[in-house]
Amino acid sequence: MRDKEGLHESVEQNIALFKHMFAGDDTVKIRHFRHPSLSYVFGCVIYIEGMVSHDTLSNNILRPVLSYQPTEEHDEHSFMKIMTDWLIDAGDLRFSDDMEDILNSLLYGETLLLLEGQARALIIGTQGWQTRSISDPGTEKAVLGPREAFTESLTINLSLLRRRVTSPDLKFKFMELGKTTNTSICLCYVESVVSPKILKQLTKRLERLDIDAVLDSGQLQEMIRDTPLSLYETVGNTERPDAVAGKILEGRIAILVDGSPFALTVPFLFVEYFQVSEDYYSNYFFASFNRAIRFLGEFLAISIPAIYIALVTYNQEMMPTPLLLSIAAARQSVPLPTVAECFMMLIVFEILREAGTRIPTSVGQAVSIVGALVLGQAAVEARVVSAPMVIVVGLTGITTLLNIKMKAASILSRFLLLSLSSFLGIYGYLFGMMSLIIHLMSLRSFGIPYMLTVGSFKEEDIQDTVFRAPWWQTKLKAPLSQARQRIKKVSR
Amino acid sequence: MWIMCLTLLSSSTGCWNYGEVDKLSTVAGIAIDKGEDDKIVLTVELVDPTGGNDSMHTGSQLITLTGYTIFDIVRRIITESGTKLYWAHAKSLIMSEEIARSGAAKVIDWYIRDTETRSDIHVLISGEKTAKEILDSKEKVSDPLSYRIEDILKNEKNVSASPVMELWDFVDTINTPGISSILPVIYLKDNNGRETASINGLAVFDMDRMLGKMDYLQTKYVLMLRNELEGGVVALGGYDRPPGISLEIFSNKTKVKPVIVDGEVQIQVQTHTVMAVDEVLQKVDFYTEKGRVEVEELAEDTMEAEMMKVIQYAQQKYKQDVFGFGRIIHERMPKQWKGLEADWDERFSQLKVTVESKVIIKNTASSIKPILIEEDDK
Repeated sequence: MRDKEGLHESVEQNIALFKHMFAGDDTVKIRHFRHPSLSYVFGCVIYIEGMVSHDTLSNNILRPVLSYQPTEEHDEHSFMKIMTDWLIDAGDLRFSDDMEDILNSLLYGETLLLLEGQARALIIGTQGWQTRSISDPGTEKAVLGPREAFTESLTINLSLLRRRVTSPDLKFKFMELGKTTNTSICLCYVESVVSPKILKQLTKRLERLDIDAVLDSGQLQEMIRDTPLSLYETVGNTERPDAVAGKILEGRIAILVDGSPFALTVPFLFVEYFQVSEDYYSNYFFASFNRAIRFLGEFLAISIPAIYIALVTYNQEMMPTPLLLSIAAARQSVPLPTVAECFMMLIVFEILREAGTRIPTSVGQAVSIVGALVLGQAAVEARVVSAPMVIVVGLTGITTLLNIKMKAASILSRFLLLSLSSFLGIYGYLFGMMSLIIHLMSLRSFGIPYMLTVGSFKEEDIQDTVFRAPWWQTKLKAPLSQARQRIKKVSR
Repeated sequence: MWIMCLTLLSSSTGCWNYGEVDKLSTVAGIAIDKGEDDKIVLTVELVDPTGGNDSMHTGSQLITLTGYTIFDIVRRIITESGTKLYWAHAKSLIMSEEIARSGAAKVIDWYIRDTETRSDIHVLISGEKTAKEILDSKEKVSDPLSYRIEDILKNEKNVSASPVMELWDFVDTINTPGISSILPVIYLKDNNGRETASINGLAVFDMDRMLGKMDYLQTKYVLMLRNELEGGVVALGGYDRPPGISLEIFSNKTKVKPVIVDGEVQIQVQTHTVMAVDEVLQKVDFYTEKGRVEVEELAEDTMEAEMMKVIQYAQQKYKQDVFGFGRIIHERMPKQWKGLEADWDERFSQLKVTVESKVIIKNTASSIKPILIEEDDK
């Protein structure tokens, strides 16, 4: 459909050209204008309804041009110069005679100004579409620290970043992805600390992508991963500008996608799942405690059902006697075997979780009532499930939600471990756990080992892992040079 | 490849047994008695998770069967319990005096040898006629009796009225020359109309044959001489007998030193005990420097006398080295031990032992002076 034909000198012909191109699309508006005294100032502006700011269009473009009272004689060319030099009041202004460029600009909310006798278009930056205002981060809530989250608008997102890192070292590199959508994406990094190797590798991977539509950063996240088959993400995502700023200051690269409120960061390490922005803003004892809780929570989330099954059905001798007796008492006259009971309850919990996320808020209460009353209390009283199983499943559910970003990995690894331990008991669980650790150890994110510095006890390696060292202690005081050295060391 | 690994790995483990926890017959404890015609009477106490008085407690049931070997009986119990017995949570094994006197090794061999049983079970000797009647006592207040026995033994170190022996430990001492085995003794006591289990005193063994018993007071000093004492009370005098002081033992260290005097091996025992005055019944000076030394000396004399008495009792009545002196001679004087080992029981009964106690009174608990101190001053 796209006409490769260039622009004509005649405005009428050009208008016909655009009308033909956008036949059936009523949002493309063409407005003719003619200067009252200068007869050669005759042309049109073309824009897309809803994408431009009417304010800018009428106050800063049409009015100054049309109300211009010449004090001296002009011809077309000197008028053009005056117009671009001071009549039109817009930040972004350029000429183009490349049809492709002209069309892309038009579709991106810029206004085209065509004048009789000019075989080129003046492209004016008048983008003014509606965006969501900056709001609280919905998925990464924090008590302390900044409350801003990224929005769907790339320019706003970049401004959020720029405001935090006001240094000429912060670089924004734009790319376009998606053959149909032409989505702008932006790589953000701090030039003095970024590893050029990783940057090159990332650019290469992005350029190689063959995709029609990029609607969210999640798609890229999946396509630029090192190990596409792993359960664990090797590309991080966050909607907190302060988190992104922190990460790029440590030498990572952020990828912002227009239309997505989630920024990607690479390289991504396992420990970053457990690092929450708030850790860095609150008391370090408390932050370290919370970290430890998160690590424990993740361990429990994948292990509790598996260990319970192993202990109750295979290795009863490993339980303290009173516990064994109380579980035995609770399981009296429960019809299903423990393994089936466990799978059933876990799947019920997943159904509740999924229902809770999808359900419209107006009927949201139904989920909690059904979940708590029908499936918890009533099921236990009716002896369909045993009370310890409800505790196990409840604890598992809560601990999974503790590290919400890991939930995909935790849920699936949990079912794997559970299956293993329901065949082999505690031995199966340990076997699964070992496989899981070996797998995690073998992962890499853009060449950086996923479990970087695990097993090291050097002060600078563990200062921001299970514990967060106090700021006055950490060697991150000079973050730029420090991080650069670390990244350099491992990317070599 | 993965499937192969999985199959190989899974078959190389020992733990295959799938079993639902509510389908297990969990054994809490067992009692072994002698029956007629050289038969063994075995009683197992099974946990009944729902059989308690209320939902907080578990009940128990007894199954008794007779047979020629233990394993034969154990397997036949299935015909009555319905499910295979689960032994990993059994806590106490009680033998009757009769069967212990004719050799305990015969009846505990299965328990030590079998793979499903655990050798960290507590072993006791019944002070009543049979072992079964202990488990069958009318005390059905709470959890299975075997678990109550474990609770009693767990807190035993605060009383030191009986030794605590696990099966492996007992079997170990049977086979160690230079030390004789001892086991705690369990009685049934009528406690205001309720029958309760009471563990005190010890049974003395020659190899695996029980010879006789000692009471709880003797037991305390046996434990002290074995350097196994961790707590307890030393009472000096009483209500109407001066000085009327109870001393709490905080720690005790016993050093046994073999020495050669005139070519004969002798044993020198030194005890070092840290105590505190915890009860004063009489008007005694224990709070001044001088008074404290007097109490210390009195405690030392009492303990020395009691230890000498219990040593003589063991030497003369049983000729059994329940204190493990022989083992210490073996360690320190291997050459001399070679000459003694063959007839150690006889040599032990002639052994010269000297005892020296050292008592340190650390404090007088939470009050410094007796209640009656002011009258005293007048």
